[in-house]
Amino acid sequence: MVEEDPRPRLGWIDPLVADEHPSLALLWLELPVRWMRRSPRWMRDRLATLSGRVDGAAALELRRQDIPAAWRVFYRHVGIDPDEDQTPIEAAYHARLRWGGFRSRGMPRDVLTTALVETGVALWAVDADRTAGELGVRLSKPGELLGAGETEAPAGRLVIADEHRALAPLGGEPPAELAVAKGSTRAIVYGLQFTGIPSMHVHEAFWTASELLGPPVAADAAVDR
Amino acid sequence: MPLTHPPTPLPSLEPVSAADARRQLREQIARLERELSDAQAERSRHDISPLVRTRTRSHGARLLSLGQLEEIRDALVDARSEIGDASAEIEARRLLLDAMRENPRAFKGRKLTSRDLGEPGCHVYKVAPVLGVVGRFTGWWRVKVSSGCPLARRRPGRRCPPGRGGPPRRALSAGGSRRSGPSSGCASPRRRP
Repeated sequence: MVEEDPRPRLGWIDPLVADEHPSLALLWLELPVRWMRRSPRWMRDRLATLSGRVDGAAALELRRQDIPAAWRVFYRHVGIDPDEDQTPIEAAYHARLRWGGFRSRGMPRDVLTTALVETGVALWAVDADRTAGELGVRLSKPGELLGAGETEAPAGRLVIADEHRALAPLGGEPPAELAVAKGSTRAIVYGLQFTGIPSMHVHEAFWTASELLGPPVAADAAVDR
Repeated sequence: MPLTHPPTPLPSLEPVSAADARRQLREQIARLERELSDAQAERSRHDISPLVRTRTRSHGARLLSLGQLEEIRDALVDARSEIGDASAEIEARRLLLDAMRENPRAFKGRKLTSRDLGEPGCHVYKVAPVLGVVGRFTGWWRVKVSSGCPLARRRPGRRCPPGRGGPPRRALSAGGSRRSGPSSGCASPRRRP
């Protein structure tokens, strides 16, 4: 059920994970969504405006900013080398420099990119109809498959899970079979919070996502689809 | 030899649990990562790729053991000291360049590149005699700065698309000197006699 006044909800954290990372929190929110291969003009314009704000100097200083630095530290804490597997915000900035702008990839991916660049908080989205119950963080079981069963998560990996199955690796994209696609009407948008990421930024990221996904689709969007 | 004094008892140490040790290691990793980021940003003002890569491998997000955390901590310490050493070397070379400019005669033929100085581009700073032999005999030396990066060169066998015409007959070579023949662009299609 989609809420009238959307506020992110706290997901469950496996006690074993919570003991090691007491500051780790998973927040998620169910939102109405309309998949579009091509984003409406206002969304593409907003991405273009964001592209103008991010230049090489900003990318060079990124590692010293609080939230990107917190992401790097968290990656180290969970055994990911941020120089090998970039953090979401660094990956977005590098793509911006490589392509000369934030490339539009349709809805709702452009919304998540906007929230990420504006707040530094990474959000992911899965089709709400393909999940069951509340989301949380736990360790993967031996031989467990992610999503509908095309990708295997090695045992002992931190995964985002619903009440029945593992959905996505922690900090990684959900598999394609769970992504919001044509015909999806509701999405679960989720994000992580840990030491160094203020609650205000997390809430702003969710607010941005709900504002951009929530309003009725503009007239030019129907033309652009 | 008999002991004259009884041995001093060691102070009792509080046992540190494995969880506490892991927490302390995570704090150290956080501090080192921030130091590394600062050093990277200060040292490299033109390149976003990491100057030094830690010798750790990613295997996906997981809970780390004490040993794995120690390994990451040690890798960060090594990377930090490596950047520190490189920065010290660059600083020394910058001082050397200043000295070369102050007194070129003392550094005859000495060459430094922008890479040696941790700068972008392809400049070469070389102490060379003014007017060649004249400067060599009169002891008139100066620091000469090269013009920049070499131009792109033609790939052998590449041909122009129809209607684009051939390349210029004379073009700058990679070294900056003029020579005859194509050095960039695409080759002219062969004409039948």
